[in-house]
Amino acid sequence: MTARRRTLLTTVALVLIGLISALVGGDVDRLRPDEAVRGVFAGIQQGFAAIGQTVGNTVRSVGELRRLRADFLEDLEQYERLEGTVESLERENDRLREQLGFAARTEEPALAAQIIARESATGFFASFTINRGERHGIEVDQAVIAFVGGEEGLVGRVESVAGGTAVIVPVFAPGSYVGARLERSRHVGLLQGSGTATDALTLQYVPRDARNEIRYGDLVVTSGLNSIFPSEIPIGRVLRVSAPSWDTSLVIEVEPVVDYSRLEYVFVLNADGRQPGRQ
Amino acid sequence: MDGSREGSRMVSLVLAGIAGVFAILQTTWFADWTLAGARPDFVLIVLTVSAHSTGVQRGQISGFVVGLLEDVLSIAPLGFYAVVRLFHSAVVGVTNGAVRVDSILTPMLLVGLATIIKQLAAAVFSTVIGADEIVLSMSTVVELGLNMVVAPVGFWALRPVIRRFSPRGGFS
Repeated sequence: MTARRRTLLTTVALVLIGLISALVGGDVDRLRPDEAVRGVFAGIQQGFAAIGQTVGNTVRSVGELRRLRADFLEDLEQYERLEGTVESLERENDRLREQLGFAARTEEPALAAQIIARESATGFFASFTINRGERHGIEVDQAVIAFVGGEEGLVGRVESVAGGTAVIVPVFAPGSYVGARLERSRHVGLLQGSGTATDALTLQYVPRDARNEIRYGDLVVTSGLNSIFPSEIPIGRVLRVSAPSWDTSLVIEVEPVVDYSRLEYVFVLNADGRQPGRQ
Repeated sequence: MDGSREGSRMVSLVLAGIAGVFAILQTTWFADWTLAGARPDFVLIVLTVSAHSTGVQRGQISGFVVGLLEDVLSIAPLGFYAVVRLFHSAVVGVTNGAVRVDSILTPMLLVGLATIIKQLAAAVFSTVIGADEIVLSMSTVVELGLNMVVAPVGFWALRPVIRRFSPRGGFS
């Protein structure tokens, strides 16, 4: 067998393996090897995330120390470094207090989790990995929200769960559809992801005659209709409304209330539509 | 087994290991390093170096294995990244021994080619499996640019690995 033929056979064999695996993978109802391996690598990701955080903090501290050395006298250097550290801790403390305050206020049982990995920039399948999983009571299809800058917003839903981690599909993923409602005018539609965290979401199937009732900045919330998401969770605000001549409904661009690129912590709701006070 | 084949095997093994580490780093440390919603695909750059240095056969196997790792790290259907990585590595592998690498231009062109093949393979493969996930946007173009900018640095940084294990002592 010539080398070229061997290479070609390898290519065909590997492509067939990949194709068959991708086609049947989702339908196999048994212990999937990739789920088991994912659990192992999720642990590695968690380790890398922890190391990255430590290294990042160290680098920031060094940078801060240099700035202080240039700005102040040598005898104040130690004091200023400590002050900088305290400020950093206070900021972190404030952030955590904000998250805790939200957890206490929210009406649904919500479990706080930290994002340890994200696959969205060059990846084709946008996702976040959080440091809470099956052993913390997380289940597939639970809703995930965040509290950023004083605003609550929908993040996505749990796609898969391993022992200590879970993978979330964000609302901006192209295959993500969320039943949504314009909070003020109460018109409902279907919100579709744009594929990237930076682009606007698209709200479709809102009737054309609703155009005069929709204003720039109107809040879009989850409708709770035929959806795994509880109702009235803020998603975004109306950015632009267009009425294409070929379409019977409006196309509304929605700017998410959550800045997905800055997300650190999220809350997994005990979803299933069971949310006291929010039906 | 002669030294050339043994060296080639070691190069592909070591570079596949490095690409695997980058696959994990891209979801953790580098996750926030984005420009206009895109970031350089370091895995692609390492696999491009590997494929160009070792040829189609070793390049495509390295790509397939590293792609499998990315599949288990993401929510992609198992086999998706494996096939995508296989394709762009196999195409770049054809240039082994045929294209001589300089400091800047050739790395940029090879990585640019690999990025385009990656996007095309992903679009075709997602259609075949009905994933409906691939969106070509401005981020795709930005990623292409970022990959090409980072490519010369990647080739320069990985040159010692090639020199260490390859009897030819560098890129052909």
